[in-house]
Amino acid sequence: MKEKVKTIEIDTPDHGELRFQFAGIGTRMIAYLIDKFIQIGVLLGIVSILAIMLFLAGQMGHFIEILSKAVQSLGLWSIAIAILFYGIASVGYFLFFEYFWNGATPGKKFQKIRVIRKDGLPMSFADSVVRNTLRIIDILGEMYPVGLIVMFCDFHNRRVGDLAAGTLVIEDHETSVLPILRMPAETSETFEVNSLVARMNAEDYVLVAKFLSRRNELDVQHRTQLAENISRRILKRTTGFGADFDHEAFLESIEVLYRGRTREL
Amino acid sequence: MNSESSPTLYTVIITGLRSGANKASIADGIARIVKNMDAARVLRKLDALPWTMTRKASRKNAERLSKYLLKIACDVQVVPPLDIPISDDMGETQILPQTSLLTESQVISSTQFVPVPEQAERADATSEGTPPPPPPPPPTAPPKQDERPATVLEPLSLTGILDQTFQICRNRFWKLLAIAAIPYCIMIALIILAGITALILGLTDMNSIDDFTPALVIAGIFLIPTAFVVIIALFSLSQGALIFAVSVSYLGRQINVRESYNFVFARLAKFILTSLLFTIMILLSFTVAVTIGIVLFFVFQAFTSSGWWSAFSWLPLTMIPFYVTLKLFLFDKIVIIENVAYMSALSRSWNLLSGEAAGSWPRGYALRLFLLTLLFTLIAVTISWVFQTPAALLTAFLPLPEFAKTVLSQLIGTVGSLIATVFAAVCMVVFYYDVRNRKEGFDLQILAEMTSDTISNE
Repeated sequence: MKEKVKTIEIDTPDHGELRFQFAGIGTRMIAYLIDKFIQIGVLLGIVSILAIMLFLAGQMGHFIEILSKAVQSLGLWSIAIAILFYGIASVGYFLFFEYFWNGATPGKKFQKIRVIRKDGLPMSFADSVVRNTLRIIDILGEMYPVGLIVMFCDFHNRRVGDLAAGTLVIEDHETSVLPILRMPAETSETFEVNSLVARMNAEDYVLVAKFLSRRNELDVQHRTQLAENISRRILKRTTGFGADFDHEAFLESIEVLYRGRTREL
Repeated sequence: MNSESSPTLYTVIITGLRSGANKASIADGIARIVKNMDAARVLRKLDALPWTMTRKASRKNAERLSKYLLKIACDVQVVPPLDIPISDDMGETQILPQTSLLTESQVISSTQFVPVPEQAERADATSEGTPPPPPPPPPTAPPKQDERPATVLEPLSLTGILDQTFQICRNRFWKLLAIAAIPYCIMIALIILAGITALILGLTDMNSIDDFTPALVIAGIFLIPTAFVVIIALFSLSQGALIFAVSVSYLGRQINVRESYNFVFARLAKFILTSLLFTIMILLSFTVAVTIGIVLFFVFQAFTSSGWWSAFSWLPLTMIPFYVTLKLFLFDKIVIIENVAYMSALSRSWNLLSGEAAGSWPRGYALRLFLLTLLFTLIAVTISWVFQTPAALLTAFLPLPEFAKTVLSQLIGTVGSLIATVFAAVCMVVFYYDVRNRKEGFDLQILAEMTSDTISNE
């Protein structure tokens, strides 16, 4: 089992290093759906409010009359204008949010992703215009067929707009520390916990920390079994333990001790 | 800007320890950045310096490693030398305990310095008259493993499941497609064979069919059930092979089409019989819903003006078979991956999809599956749109005979549904492992077992 996630490393001019994880296609799809729902909701809201206002002002009939006359005189052009208006509203939504909201739209914000330039800098307005104008090609028929194919074929999950504008969509997660739910119980002095901790390596620590942070979700049988397995793994290097040994309390102790030692280092 | 792994490999050597340095704490510090090497082993290495830690470090790793080693009071030599002074921003070097700079295989146990290949070549070129050194022993063949990035085993969000689905599909697209396409290819071959047989026997002439009627009836009695069984077996085999292949791929191993089919072949009977049980359970739940509907009709008839008022209860009643289908949805993965069959597989699927996941909404496992199915339906619609639209355009504008147009659109449509099948299989297997990771700590079990093996080997 290899543990590798899709990341990009960007070297900054001051020899720093930025590492970003690409947003997955699924994440981007959900973000787009959320944005779409917001757009449709806002459009419906505006239309409803206008309708209510016209109705209350007694101008609804007059408005419909004007509208039907306009549609009759324009013919098929009226449909083209409506599509154009919808396109501008749709593209404008993304353009506005991505430029003024650090590369994120409400959908992207919800999914904790954002758009950056491939050199790690924020998008310029021109980038945003290119990226979002080409969305028209990506979303052909509102189904995202072209975008889906291109993202599927591109190793960095970029759609046509991203390729043209030189942008990337990255995950914007803040580094989170694995939560430990309880303070450690008193450590049994039967075991030389400190020497055990000194013998632990990073992999042991990750395993213990992951187990402790997720144990409440595990079913009882697997939780007990796993705690025992992990304890065995760590204790195997020195000594054994009795039948009444509290594996979880032991793991809690060594997790905290290991973290403490790492901080000192 | 994108610093992909540089072609030059760097050698990092610990040449000594600074005076007054605490050897135990240095060993402790090094053990944290090397996978599967505890402090005691590192301490033994430090007792016999110099220690060539690695000859396979990328530039970035060599920089990070040397900065870190300097920080914990080691004297370090990097070959070829790094062109920037490595002690410049030592203070900023911070390596988290989760970050393993070196794997055990990257750590060189020998203490003798050996130049990296590039240096050796340069040395050969400059030393005239001296006989070339014997060629280095051929490197041992690396263990067979996937060259493509595999997945990370851990609990995922719904979007994470979709991301993994796309990633696995992208990395193993052709092999998975080949596995899914085999039954279709066999079916097409059988149809062509039947067509040729019909041509040879002259069965294409409708007037002559009367002469063959009794023979055709008898053949039909045998052929139709046989064809039915063959189709079920073929598609079950393909579905099982796909589940196996995705599972293997998800766990980071290479997919082999033949191995996938061979593996499932041994479990085919169990798989088909459990599928039959699954169908029976759905039918039973449907029967229960219909029975309750009929009872409600009479109850409403007795207490209201018309029994048709019970129609309001029909919508909730349709949820019964739907809910049962959802809860038993993982049975095929359980049969293939865990070799648990029949009612045990169904009840395990039910148990796995009971309860709630930790984290954000949606938390119920069944609800997560339902939403995932909805999202996946959207993707499937897009995939079919991708294939149907060009097919429709081609058939509309190309001057082809009607038969060719039908074949072309059918063919493109089949490819679309094949791809959707592959996506569905991957998505469901990833979901199955996600449930197991969450409820049973499957990922933690694997991690614990992997390193337990390493310990026992030491």
